Amino acid sequence: MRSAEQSDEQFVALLVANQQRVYRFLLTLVPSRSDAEDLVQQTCLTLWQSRAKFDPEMGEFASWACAIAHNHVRNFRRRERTRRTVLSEEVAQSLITTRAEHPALLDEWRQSLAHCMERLTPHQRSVVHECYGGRAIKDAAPESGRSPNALYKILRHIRARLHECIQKTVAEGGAS
Amino acid sequence: MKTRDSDQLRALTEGYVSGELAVGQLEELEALLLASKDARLFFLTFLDIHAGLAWELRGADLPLPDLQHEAMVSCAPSVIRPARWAAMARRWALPVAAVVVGLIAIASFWQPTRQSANAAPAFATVKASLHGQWADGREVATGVVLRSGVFDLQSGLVEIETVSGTVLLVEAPAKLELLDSLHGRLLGGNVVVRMPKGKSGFVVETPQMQVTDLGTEFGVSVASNGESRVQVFDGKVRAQGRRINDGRELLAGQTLRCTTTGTLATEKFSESRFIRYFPPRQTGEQPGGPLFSRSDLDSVRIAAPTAPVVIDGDLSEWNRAGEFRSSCLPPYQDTYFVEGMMMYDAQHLYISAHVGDPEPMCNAARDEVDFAGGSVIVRVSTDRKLGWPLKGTSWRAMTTETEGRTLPGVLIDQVARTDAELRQLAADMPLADSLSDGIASIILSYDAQAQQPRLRLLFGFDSHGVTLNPPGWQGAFRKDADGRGYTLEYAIPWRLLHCAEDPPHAGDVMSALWMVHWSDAEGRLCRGQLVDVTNHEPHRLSAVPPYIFFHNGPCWGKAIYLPQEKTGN
Repeated sequence: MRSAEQSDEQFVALLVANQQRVYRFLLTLVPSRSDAEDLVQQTCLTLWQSRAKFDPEMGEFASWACAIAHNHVRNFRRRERTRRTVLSEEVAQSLITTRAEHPALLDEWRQSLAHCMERLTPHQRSVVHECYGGRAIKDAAPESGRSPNALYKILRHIRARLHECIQKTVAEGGAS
Repeated sequence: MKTRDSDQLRALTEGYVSGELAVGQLEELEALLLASKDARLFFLTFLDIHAGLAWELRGADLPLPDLQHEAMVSCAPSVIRPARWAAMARRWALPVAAVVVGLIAIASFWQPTRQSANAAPAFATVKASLHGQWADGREVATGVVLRSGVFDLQSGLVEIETVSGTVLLVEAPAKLELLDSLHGRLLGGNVVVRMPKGKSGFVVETPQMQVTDLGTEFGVSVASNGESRVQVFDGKVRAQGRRINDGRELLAGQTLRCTTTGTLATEKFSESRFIRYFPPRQTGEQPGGPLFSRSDLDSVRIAAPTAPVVIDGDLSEWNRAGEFRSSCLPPYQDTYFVEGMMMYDAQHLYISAHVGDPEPMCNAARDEVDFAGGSVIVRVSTDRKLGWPLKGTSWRAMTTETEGRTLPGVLIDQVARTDAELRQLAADMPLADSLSDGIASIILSYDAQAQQPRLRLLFGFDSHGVTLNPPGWQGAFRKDADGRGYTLEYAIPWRLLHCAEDPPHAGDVMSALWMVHWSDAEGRLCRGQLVDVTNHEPHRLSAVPPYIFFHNGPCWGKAIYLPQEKTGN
């Protein structure tokens, strides 16, 4: 019989292996990075507290983790109902269903992101780093010598280019 | 989904990601998502890009000095550089080890503990940084407190002061292990050590020797070929071989080289071998990243050969009438530079360059980004009907390809903000010019894996007709004796540049642009670039930053084909 410590280590290993999936799942439903990071933290704590309930025989860890993350999104929506920045539960549910119907497609998109990042110009990559490097755009803008609006504008263009590139890459059979 | 809905969905999704949706727009977005599965797939893929970028880059700019130090130590050459997931897993390593306090430990994934960073005493501080970037891509922040560990500086110049008052000027690419406030180990690159007056005793180890300061200022380098050098600018040092029991005292103005076998040999003193002073910060610098140049040349003169050209990396037979030098901004001007020449005859375009490069001929980059591993790119027009300045731009090529308004953000920001301005810009830049076969980008690099020169050609501002190593060209590379540069020499038939029937001749004034790229030691990551031979005339594109000049024909300089009789002057 495995010791409790071994089980805990295996559980943490599962968390490590699935953390990106949980993070990306949450950021689809809650676009603000700071909000999503708070929710990841809450999800991790819940997962840890509930680790005894996880039964590998009953299903994938990722599905279980995302279900718990979804619960935290519901709670978040209730708390933030006056701000109204998050999609409704009905829309969230339909997105989750669509996502489940196309797991391979989204995995392909994920794999193609790095490939398409390499095709950005050095300037575009530096803007991405400025905007996603841990700081808010309004904080990153002064150092880049641009206004926040200008930075948003460039970022919009970059995201559109990445979307176009990934779409093309996936259509052509992937990044590799 | 109708086009109108598609445009609306795209705009609303972008607004949702940016947190900029106005009142009522969230409901509009929800209606579109509920109405169409295609809309949901678009939304999910778009949001997944946002999520992917956030995941890959989150925490890339940790503000706490201790945390930054922790990340820097992870770049030690003795440690395999962790991939992003591995770095994340390392943060989870604490929870695994301390699983009995799992809740706290897991929380530390998002609130990283500072315990490990505080374990070693701090004994140095980053006092200044010029384009400094660590090997993991983080910017070097001034004021960062450093503890013992290996610091892998990918680019830039960084000034470090230890608590003993010793100033270390580290020039990238460099790997320096700080052991304590009076002891460092240089594993690669250049460092200049300056002791405060009246103090001595700082020791720099290299793989082959140990240099002990005896009250002085001195530079130590470890080249990519493994050789070490010490050069004394002021005072005195003692250099001791580590393999051979040979020790020498050096005075100001003396240089000592230590070979990979440990043999010590005096060498000619070279003031420019090391950067000794941190330059004052310039105001109004053009953004361009590290090692960037300020273009001084508005033309390149292309001479006719005066002797048969042999492509062997030896330029002694070249007609130097059109020779030019271009270098990166101070303090890099003596380390990162290019001395270029071009020649022509009825059959060939000849290109040569001597490039200052501390990591020469190590290009391991592949495919479309092979330029990033170290390269010289010469862009020329070969169709005299296009004249000078060129009118083509990649923006026009891209606009046609996408049949929409997918435009380079920088260009738009700089020159056109309204539809009317865009229409005028399109009229000013004919599409045919943008797609012309008479615009060639000639990418010259050394394929380190195949150990042979490489030629990549592409055409037009849409980069069509990409060709790698087409038959008929010749190229040769030769590494500098001190391992800090290389010479390239190429002969490219005009037919490969689509002008065999009517090649450029004496008196032609066409367009050209020169670019040089420098890489990291692995030859994969571009650390900086130089752009020269540019149009200095004021025009509406003058605000375009130099690193995208190549996208914009009006920014290219002149290529002046010299008459035969004037060569050799």
